[in-house]
Amino acid sequence: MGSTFFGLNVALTGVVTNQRALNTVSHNLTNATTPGYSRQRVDTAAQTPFPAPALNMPVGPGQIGTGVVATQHLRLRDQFVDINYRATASHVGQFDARANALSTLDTVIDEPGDTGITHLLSEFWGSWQALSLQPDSAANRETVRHSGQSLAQGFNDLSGQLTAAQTEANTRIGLGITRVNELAGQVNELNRQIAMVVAVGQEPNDLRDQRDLLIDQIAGFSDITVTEPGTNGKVSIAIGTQLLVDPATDTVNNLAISGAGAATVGGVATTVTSGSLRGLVDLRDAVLGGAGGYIAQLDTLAASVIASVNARHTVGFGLDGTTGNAFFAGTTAATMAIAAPIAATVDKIAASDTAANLPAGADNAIDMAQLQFVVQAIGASTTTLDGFYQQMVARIGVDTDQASRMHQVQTGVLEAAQARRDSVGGVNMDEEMSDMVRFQKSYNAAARMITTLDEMLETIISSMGVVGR
Amino acid sequence: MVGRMSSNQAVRNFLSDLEGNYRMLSESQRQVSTGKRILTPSDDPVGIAISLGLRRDQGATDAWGRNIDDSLTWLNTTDRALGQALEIVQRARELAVQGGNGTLSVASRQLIAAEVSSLKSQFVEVGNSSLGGRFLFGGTATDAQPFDPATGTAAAPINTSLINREVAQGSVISVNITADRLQDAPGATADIFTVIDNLAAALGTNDSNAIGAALGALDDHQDNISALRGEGAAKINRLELTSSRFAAQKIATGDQLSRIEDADMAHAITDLSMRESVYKAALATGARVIQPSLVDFLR
Repeated sequence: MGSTFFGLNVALTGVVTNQRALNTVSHNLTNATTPGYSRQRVDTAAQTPFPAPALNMPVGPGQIGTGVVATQHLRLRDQFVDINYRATASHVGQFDARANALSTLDTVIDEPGDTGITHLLSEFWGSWQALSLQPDSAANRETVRHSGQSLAQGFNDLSGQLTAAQTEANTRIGLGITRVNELAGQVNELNRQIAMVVAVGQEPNDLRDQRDLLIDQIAGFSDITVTEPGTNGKVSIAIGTQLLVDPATDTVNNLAISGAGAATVGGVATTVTSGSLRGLVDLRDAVLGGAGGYIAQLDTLAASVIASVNARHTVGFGLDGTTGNAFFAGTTAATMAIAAPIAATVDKIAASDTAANLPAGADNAIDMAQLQFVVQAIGASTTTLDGFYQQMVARIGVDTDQASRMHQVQTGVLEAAQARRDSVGGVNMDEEMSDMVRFQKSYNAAARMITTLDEMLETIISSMGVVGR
Repeated sequence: MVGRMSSNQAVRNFLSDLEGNYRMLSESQRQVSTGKRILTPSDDPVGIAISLGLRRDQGATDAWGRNIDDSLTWLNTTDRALGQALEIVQRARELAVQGGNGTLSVASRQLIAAEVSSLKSQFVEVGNSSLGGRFLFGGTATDAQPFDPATGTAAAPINTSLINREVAQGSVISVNITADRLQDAPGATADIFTVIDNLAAALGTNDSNAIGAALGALDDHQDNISALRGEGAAKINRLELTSSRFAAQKIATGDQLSRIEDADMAHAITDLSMRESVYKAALATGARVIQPSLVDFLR
């Protein structure tokens, strides 16, 4: 036979557990928009019934229920979706970095446009054509010098833009590495806090959410492998083969990427295969820099323009009878400029092919204008000067297009992963509201039960045994 | 979406769809407002390569067009000068025939001889014709008179260099007639000035043999100058043909360029209005769907 107050205890478990559930609803609602938050649920079960089986157990028709108990606070999260999400986040980071930088270049090269190199080259050849009509005209000579200056300036500017983009990529690599190491430090700290909570047998749901959010952020920078090796709740994060966060020793091995693009974690070589750091390193060392990069290509073109224009110019004769003058100075896109003698006087511009043909001889100017159709070996290709630049423009176009397409595709995949994640762990207001009503009713019912029991006790204590008084 | 939907997810889906709509809308807007389909290379990497090639061709064709115009001016002016030269030679010939008539008095012959002599300075004047301050027959020495008015002979040394123009890809033509070709006829032994001098002298002495020889030489010079005019006319003809070919080509290139670079306006505007209505519909749906939840209905 149970105690008189048995029922009170049963009802109390209802009050306490429903209150706990209501608090959790409240926690879910308030964190509905918190980044990285996973909804929580209180799992409940019927308490161990009375009596427990024993030799001297009270005799009765059966066990009687003793109320409800909260068994655990559950964080609703799918670890497989996390793996998928992080791998995709790395790809998005990679193509985001690439697409951003390239779309800027795509605009600054101004093709088709009036300040692009194609237009400047066309103007330059056109000015030589005009000079061939009136080689002794100072105005025409001035036009040749001016269009040459514009062309050199165009090369300087584009080279500057490309170098600036490369420098920016380099700066962002540095910032990215610092951020990854910071995030790894925070993960390491959370690892320790989580282990302490787990050690006393509880689930640190909110700390885990925070840690997962940090890991998601790291995944944007580099592809990572996350594992939870022990039962102490700590995770390890590896970049390539090397541990960035080592739970065994509670240490962070710092990531570093050299100027040549070689990645190390804790001083040991490893590989970063995706993530924004990969995208930026590719951008810095292969797309912009490197032997086949835009900067090298532009320099190759500039060197070819300088060399072939000078080769023709030096054999011609200026209006003042001098010969052997170079038209352009410099050897790269950045250093290209009008040669000093030409800059000083336009009479040095060599339109004539012999001294005897001065002043109206224009065969050299005609030769110069024809240079635009001369197919020559430029870098690895055999094409015209204009043709080489067109190839380069088309390549920038293809690269940009591809990067933004890949970015779009991966963003779509990431959105799908996010949707799957939300579908498991996201807070749904309607659901929480109906839970709130459910738990509130349960709470009210349990409280009502206590009132009823109170009335019953009142009956026993105050109203019983008063017969005959 | 199969399974549970969270409140955030609904908002996120809505935003991502709306963003997609907005991107398409602004893409259409840009096409309509600029009238261009290709604004950066990534808009159409294949198209841009063709378009840049066409633009280069356009630039080159324009330059050749200008070269042709200039060459035509030069050739036409030269033709006019040659016409005048021809008239002078013909006049000399007429005078030679007139002076060869044995019945003329000495005084009349002297008058004719004087006119013949003046023809020489007229020829020098024609030989020193210029265009925009540049002497037509001076070869590449356009800044110096090819014929010396004082002596009435060609300035030595005669500059025989050609003035060349590129009038089409790899096609270079010369536009000038040099002084030597003007004064020396292929068959004649003496240049035009010597012939005129000889004629004047022969008329003075009434040397009919010499007058006859001068007549023959003048015929040669007449043929020569006519041949030079014919040469110029052939070039003018050819350049005019090339010029009209360029005009047609320019239209074709412009057409092709426009097909590659320009937006199809009818298409772009239809797209724009379609996308605009989709965008508005998405906004309206968002306003309806996102706002309410059970929170609004529980009392």
